[in-house]
Amino acid sequence: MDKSFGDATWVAGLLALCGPALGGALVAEDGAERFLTAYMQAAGPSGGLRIIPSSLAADALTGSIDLAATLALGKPVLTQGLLQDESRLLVRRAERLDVACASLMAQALDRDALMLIAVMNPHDADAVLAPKLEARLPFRVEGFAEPHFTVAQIARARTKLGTISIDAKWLKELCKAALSIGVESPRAVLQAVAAARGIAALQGLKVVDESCVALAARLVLAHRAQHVPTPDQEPEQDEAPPPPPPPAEAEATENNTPPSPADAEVILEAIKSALPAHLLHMAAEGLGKKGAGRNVKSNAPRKAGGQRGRRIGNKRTSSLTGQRLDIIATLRNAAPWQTLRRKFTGNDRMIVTRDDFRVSRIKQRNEATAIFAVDASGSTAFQRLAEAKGAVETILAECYVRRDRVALVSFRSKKAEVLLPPTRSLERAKRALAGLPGGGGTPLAAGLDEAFALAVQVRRAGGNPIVILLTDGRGNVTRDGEGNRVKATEESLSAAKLFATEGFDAMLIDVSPEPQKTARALAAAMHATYLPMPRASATDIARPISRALQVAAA
Amino acid sequence: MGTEKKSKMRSGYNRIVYPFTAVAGQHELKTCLVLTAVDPTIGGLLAMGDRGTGKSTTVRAFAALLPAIKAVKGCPYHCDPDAPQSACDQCRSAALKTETIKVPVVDLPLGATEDRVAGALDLERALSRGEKVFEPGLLAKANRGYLYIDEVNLLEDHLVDLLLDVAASGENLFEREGLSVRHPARFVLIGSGNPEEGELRPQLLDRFGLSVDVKTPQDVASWVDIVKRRDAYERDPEKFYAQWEPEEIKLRQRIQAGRKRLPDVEIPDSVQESAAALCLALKTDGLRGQLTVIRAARALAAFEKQKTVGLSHIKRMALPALRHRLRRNPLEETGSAVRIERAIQDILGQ
Repeated sequence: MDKSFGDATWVAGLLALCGPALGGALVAEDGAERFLTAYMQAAGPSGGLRIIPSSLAADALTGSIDLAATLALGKPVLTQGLLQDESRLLVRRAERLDVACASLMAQALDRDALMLIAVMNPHDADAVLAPKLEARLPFRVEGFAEPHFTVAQIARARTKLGTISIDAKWLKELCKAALSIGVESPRAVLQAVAAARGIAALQGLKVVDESCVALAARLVLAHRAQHVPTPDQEPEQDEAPPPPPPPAEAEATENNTPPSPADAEVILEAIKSALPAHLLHMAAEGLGKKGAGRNVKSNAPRKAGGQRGRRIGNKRTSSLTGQRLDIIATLRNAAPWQTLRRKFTGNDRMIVTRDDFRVSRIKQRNEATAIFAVDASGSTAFQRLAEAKGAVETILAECYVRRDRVALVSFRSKKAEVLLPPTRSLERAKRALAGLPGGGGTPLAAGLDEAFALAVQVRRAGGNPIVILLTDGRGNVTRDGEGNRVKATEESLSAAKLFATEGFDAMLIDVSPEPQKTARALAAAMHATYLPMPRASATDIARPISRALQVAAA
Repeated sequence: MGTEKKSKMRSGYNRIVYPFTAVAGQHELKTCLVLTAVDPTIGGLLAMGDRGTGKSTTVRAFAALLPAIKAVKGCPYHCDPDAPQSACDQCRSAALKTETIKVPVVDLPLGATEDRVAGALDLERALSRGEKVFEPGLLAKANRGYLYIDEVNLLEDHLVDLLLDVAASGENLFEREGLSVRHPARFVLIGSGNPEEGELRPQLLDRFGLSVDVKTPQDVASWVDIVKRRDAYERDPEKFYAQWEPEEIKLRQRIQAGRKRLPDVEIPDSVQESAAALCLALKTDGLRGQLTVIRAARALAAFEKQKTVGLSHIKRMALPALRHRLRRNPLEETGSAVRIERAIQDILGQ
């Protein structure tokens, strides 16, 4: 069979063939339409997808009351939950799925009761799918799919699927390959094995061969790589004492041919050809495994479209404007009165009065997020950097207690980096801080830009950002990376003004040995509190910051 | 609302569960789960660690392994017919039909609303017949079984509060929507999650009896083991289960034997003192830590067919019992495990 068509085409065919057994795919917006066409052609009417909005409420998945029908009929009418014995769902802007939905879907995916196609915009750095779902979707579709597979082909493949065998050596090679690129969990290998069987079935093969395994590795393992392949460091441990074996181990159809080095090569080559671009870049720059920050995604649960805070119970209300009606609670309050009301009005429908209305109570969390922007350049003398780090660590301890969030931006040499996206996790913060390097020029404007962008993001998500800038204010590298003090200063001042315009709370800690005019000017432009700390220790620096955070959280 | 949802949820779980004894690796997790069955008063289990390590699978597998329990037929709380003092109001009164059921395991999904967890007015009955009847929630379903919370560190604060209250009192007191209901809610709380995503509140941490650090193994042989077994299970669950059934039965019997032996296991004073000294040295908050070490050590001794608790049992149970109870200075570099090991060496000798 011609294997020259692309990965996206294969995924469409595999999902049409295996459905919920393979979980689903994360599809880039650009190629979504073509992918769906290819999928629909292969799946036919029985594989039809149900489109759900990303703002879906968890109720819709499990089933709840159909309000209109209930009121009309006078008897409770239930909507059927979308997660049935076997569901196939399509959701766009999947990053907006709320926590409850993601949780329910993850459970359904584990039971092999759901196939989910999640469409997202790959160019939007904020668009991050809930990690639970991300781990359970084997495929990433980025290119364009061709409508290659037909319903007939799929049907033929399905008859073969149950009998396809895979040599044990392939399982081992897949495990080795996965470990060498830092794949997080064996679950990915299981997904790859299932995919390999599907690929074999689609080609009419009885046994999974090398090309099937290579393709499966590429489709399923490559995008889960955390770093480029490292050489196999440990000696062969086949002879290690095995755990108590089950009574009858080997399947009749399984072979146990010894693996050859060539097999490993094939898989690794396939994977290398599909590694995410940023990993190769990281390898080139000599950055370590699990680079702190670059591909670390914020795992904070996303809030459902626009609703600030979480629903906690309900309350009575006099007016419904701007409030969200809690239907179930309303009906529950109306229910006990029905017999009486019906008697009085002679009406046998469901009678709901204003008194019954209940709206959801939203917990307004005044969650503060402290965004530290640390000048890690050479001009901030080595000692100051250690003190700045110390100050941040002290604040961390308090943030942990108060459950505030912390983010870390650093700028030095030619650019600024978000080392730590907003997190409440102490461990992550400590690690990011420990790894903070110093030296080089001061790209002040870039640092301010990065902190600003983060603050905007936090505010958009409903939080309360506070920016704490630790610097001596002497920018000397422009946004483009040139060394030009005059231009750099201009740029930093204009970047600073943005903070004032947007009204973000900010503090500027002047870490130079003597208070600098430049730093003061910068603080003024930002409308930030200016704090000179000429010979201060870490705790001195930490005190005013923590006071400001306490005030913000109140 | 009730019946429709229930039947849908059950269909997914009719499959043959992955056998507990076939779970590869995860030795500490499996041991601690077994001990919570030998002595449920140890308290719940917290399994924090890497994602994708099969925590949820292991918990479900474990519950399926446990000996079936006798329950009152048709009771939503599966009351124990032999224990009327802890039964619900209906079960306490009449002579009732009994049935045997599997130990219930309830999944608490993140973002669950309070009415799904604590229960609510049965809307169907209220709307159609105007009757005020309580519809039990997840807490009721978990009675006499396990309540599993994935991503427990992201659980909403108000749900955390509710769970703390219920776990402490062993019953759910529901007084809302014109109803006043009190029903038994005694379960073993199992929480899992990834600490990278947030810390658990200390009050909730302390509620868990034992804690386990779950790590994905990093060697090829372990991965191959995990993948081979899981793949074999998925291809033919019945056959796979049949292969492991003897091991399952053996473990079930050992647990039952352990339970029987538990009340007779002795704890010498010297051992009590050592446990106390250990907890003092580690400065654990409150007494719960010490109680848990003792209980866990005793359960371990019972499970291993020993008549007395020895220092070795204490040493083995110190880590899971105390790991999450150390007062933490957030800036301190040394992890809890290291501190506990050190204290064990100092106080209990090597």
